[in-house]
Amino acid sequence: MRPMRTMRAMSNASRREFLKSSAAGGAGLLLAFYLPGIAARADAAEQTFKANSYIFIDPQGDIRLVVTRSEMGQGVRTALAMILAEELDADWSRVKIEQGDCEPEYGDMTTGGSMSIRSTWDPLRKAGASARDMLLTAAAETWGVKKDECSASGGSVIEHKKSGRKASYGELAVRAGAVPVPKDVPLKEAKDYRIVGTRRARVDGQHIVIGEAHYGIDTKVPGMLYAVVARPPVFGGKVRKFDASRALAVPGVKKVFEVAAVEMPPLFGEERKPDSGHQHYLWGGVAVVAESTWQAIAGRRALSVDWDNGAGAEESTEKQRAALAELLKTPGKELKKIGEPDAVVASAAKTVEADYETPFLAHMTMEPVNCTASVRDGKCEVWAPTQNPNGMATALASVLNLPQSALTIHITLIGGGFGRRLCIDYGVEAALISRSAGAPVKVIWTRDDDIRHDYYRPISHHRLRAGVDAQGQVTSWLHHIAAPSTDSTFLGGEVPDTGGTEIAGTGLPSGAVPNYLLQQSFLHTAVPRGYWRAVDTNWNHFAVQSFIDEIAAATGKDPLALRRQLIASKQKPAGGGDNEGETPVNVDRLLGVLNLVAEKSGWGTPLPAGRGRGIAGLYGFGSYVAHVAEVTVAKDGTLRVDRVVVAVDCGQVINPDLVAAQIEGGVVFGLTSALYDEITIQGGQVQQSNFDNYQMLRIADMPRVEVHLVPSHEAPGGIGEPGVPSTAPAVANAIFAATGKRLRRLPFQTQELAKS
Amino acid sequence: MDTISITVNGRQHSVEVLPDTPLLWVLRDTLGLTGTKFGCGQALCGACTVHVDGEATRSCTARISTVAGRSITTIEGLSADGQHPVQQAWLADQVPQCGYCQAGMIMTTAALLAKNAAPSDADIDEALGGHICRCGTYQRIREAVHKAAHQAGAKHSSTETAAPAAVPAAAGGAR
Repeated sequence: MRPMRTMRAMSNASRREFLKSSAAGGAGLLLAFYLPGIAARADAAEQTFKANSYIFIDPQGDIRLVVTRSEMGQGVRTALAMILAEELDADWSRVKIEQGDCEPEYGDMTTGGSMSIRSTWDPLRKAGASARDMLLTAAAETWGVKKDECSASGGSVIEHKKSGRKASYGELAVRAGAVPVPKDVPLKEAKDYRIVGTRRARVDGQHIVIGEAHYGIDTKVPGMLYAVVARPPVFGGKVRKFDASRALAVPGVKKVFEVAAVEMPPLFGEERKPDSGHQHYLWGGVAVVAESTWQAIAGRRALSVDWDNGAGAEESTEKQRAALAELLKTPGKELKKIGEPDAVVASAAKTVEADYETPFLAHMTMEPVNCTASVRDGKCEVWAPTQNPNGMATALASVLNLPQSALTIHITLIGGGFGRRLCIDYGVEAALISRSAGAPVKVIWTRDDDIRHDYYRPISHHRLRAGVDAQGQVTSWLHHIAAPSTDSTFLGGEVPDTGGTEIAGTGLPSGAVPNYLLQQSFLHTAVPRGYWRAVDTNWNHFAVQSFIDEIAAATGKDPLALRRQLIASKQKPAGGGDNEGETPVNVDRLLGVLNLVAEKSGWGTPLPAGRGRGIAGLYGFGSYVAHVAEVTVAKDGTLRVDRVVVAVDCGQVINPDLVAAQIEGGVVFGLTSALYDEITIQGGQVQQSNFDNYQMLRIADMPRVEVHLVPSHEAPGGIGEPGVPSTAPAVANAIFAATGKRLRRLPFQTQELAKS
Repeated sequence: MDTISITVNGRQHSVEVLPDTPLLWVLRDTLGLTGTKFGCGQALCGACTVHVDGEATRSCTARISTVAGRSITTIEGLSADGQHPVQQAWLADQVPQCGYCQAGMIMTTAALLAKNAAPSDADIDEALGGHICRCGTYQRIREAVHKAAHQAGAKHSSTETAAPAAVPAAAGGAR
C-alpha cells in the first residue's frame, strides 16, 4: 500500500494541504483500498477484484470519492460514486467526487466495452462496506459499546440507538484511521439500497451548464504552446520533404519540425508477433508550434509538404467493395461449425440467402482529438482525454524511453469517446512534440484532422444462407463475413471480428440452429480500424437481425414469432458470455425484453399505409436489449423514423436516468449510422472532411425514444453500448414492413424506396 | 498582429491577435474563457455559439475584426451561477451526457427564448437545427426548451421562485 502516492491523484490544492497536515500530524482517516488482483492488468479473469477506488474522510467531515474510470458522458463519475456511497452509507448530497489520475495502484483504468460498472461493482461495494465497517469499529471503541449495537443510517453518521449517541464520519475519522482494514465485510442486500437504483443528478451537470467543466481541450498549463500537425493524407504515407519558411513567417509561430512515424505497442498490453503486419504506427507529419491555436492553424496553411504517399494511394472504396464481394466467393477462415450446415442447407425444403454491407465509419466525437503534454528533464506529464490511460502509459514509456515512474497522466473530462480514445496515438504525438518544442504543448486536431486520421469501424460484407425444413424450423444457418480485421491494426495477423457476437454463443441464432457455420475472410487494407461504440455487434447484427426477418418473411412468419421460436430451441451455450467469466446468455431474459418491447410498442396492432414496425433484440455487453422501430416511408422514398421503443434488462440498475440516457443516445448513434454515415476512400485518402459531408442526426429528425427497464437484481450489465446494435436492423425491418422492400446496405440507400 | 477592443460578458478587453482570428480562439486562448467549444471550425455544429448583441452567433467563423466594439456574451456570462431558466431546465431534465455541445445549445436556446417566449417544436427544430449532439440528447433538449420557456414565463407572471429540480441534489463533482 502506498497511500501517500495516491494523493497525487487529487488535483485539488486544498487536498494537498490537508495531506501535508495529515502526514505531519497523523490526523484523519485515509482509506486506500487495494483488493486482490491489481497487479496483473492483462489477466481478464481477475478484472472483478481490482482495487480502483478510494475513500477519503477528513475530520471536518468532507468525504471524497475517487473515480478511476473516464467520464465521457456515460455518467460514470456519478454511477461509480453512487456505488461507493451506498455501501459507505454516506450522505450523497455532500460527498465530493474526484477523478483519479493514472496510477499503478488503480490497476486497469480502461473505460471501454461497457465494462465500467461491471468491473467495479464488486470492488467498489467492498471498498464502501469496508470503510463503513471501520467507522463502526471506531464508534464502538469510542463509546465503549458493542459494535453490533452501532449502525449507519445513510447520513454519514454512526449511531448507538440504546444510548442515543451519534457521531459523524468526520468525528470518527481519526480513530477509524487506526482500525485495521477488515476482511470479508458483508455487503448490503438490494432491498436496503438507498442510493443504488435511484435517479440522481449527474455530479458534473452544474459545471457543464455554466461552462466550467474542463475537458482535455481546455487544458492550460504555464508556458504552454499550441500545435497542429500536417499528417500524411494517405494512410501509411510519409514526409518526403517540407518547406517551413512561409509557416515560420506567420506571427506567433515558434517552431516547425517533423514528427516521426514511430511504432507503438499494442493498446491493452497484448503480445504482438514480430513482423505480423500490424499498422500501429504514429501518423507522423510536420508539427507547427505557435503561441495560440489560430497561429498554429495559420502556420500550417502556409506550410508546404511533399508527401510520399506509398502503396496506400492505390486504395479506393470501389476497389474495397469489389474485393470484399470477391472474398465471399471462396471459403473463409472457419470460426465456428456445428453439424453439417452445407449439406443440410443443400437439401432444405426452403433456402433463404441474402448479402449485407456496411461501410467504414469515423467516431466524430464533439470534442476533437487533442492532448496536452509536457516532456522535459526526463519526465513526462500529460493531460489526456483518454479512455485508455494504461495503454497510453505503456506507449509513452516505450516511445520516449522513460520508466513508468517518470510518467504522470491526468485523465480529463472527455467530450465523447465512443472508442476513439482507446487509441493512444494522439498522446504519444503530443509528447514527442513537447519534447522537440522544449515546452508544454497542447496539440489540437481540427475536425478534418480528426475525421481523416481516425481508427475506423471496419467496412464489411456478409453473406447469409439458411435452410428451413417443411415444418418451418430453421435447420441450417451459414454466415460468411468479409471484413478487414479490427484487432489486426494493433496486433497484426488475422483476428476474427466476432468476439462479442455469435462466436461466443451469445446471440441468435448460434445454439438455436442445429447446423451452423460462421467464417470470416480478411480484407487487407492500409485504412486503420478501431473500436467504435458496440464494436463488431453493430455491423454483424445489422446482418444477423435483418436476416432473421428475411427468414420470417420467406416462411410467412411474424418476425417476433420466429424469434420466439428460435429462442425456444436455443441450447444453453457451452461457452460463457461475451467476456470471460460472465454468466452465459439467459434465453429467458432475451425473451423477456422481446416480449416487453412488443407489449410497449403495440406490436401486431395495425398501422396506416406507408408505416411499419421492425423488431431486433440481442444480448451484448452483459445486457439484454430489444428495439422496435416505427417508420414512415413516403412515396418519394423519404424515410422518417417516428418512434423507437427499447426494452432493457441490464440487471441491477445503478441510476435509471443514466441507463435511459445511454439508451436514448445509443439509438441516435445507431440511427446516424443507419441513415447517413459512410467514410469513403479515394486515392488512399478519406474523402469526408467535416459535418457537412459526414452528417449526424439532428434535432428535427429525432424520433420519440421510449426506454423500458426490466426490474432486476441480477449482476449489473453494461449500458454504454447495448443501445446501439439493434437500432439499424430494427429500422431496416420496419422499412420492410412498411414497403416490402429490403435495404441490405448501410447507410440505407433510401432512393431504392421511391415508388416508380 | 492587430490590437482589437472587444466587450465580453460586460468587461472590455484589448487583445493583440492576427486580424483574421475567429472570436472562438480569442475567447479560448487569449481570454481563457473555455466554456465556448471548438467543434468543427466551419459553423456546422454549433458548439461554439455565443451571443453577439444578443444574436446567437458561431464564434468559430466570426472574425475578431467583425465583432470589435460589440457586446459578446459567452456561457460563462449567461447568468450568475447558472440561474438562467435554460440552464435550470437543462439540469432539471438532466440533458447533458458528455456535455461538450451543450454550451452552444444553451446559448442558442437562450437567444431563441428572448425572442420567442413559447416556441413550437418547429421553432425549436429551426433554431437548433444547426447544432449537433453526438451523444444524442435531442429528446431531452426539446423537453428542456419547453420547460425553460414555461419557467421563464412563470417567473414573469409570478414572484415565486422556480420549482426545484426534479432530481435529488447532486454531490459535488470533479471538473
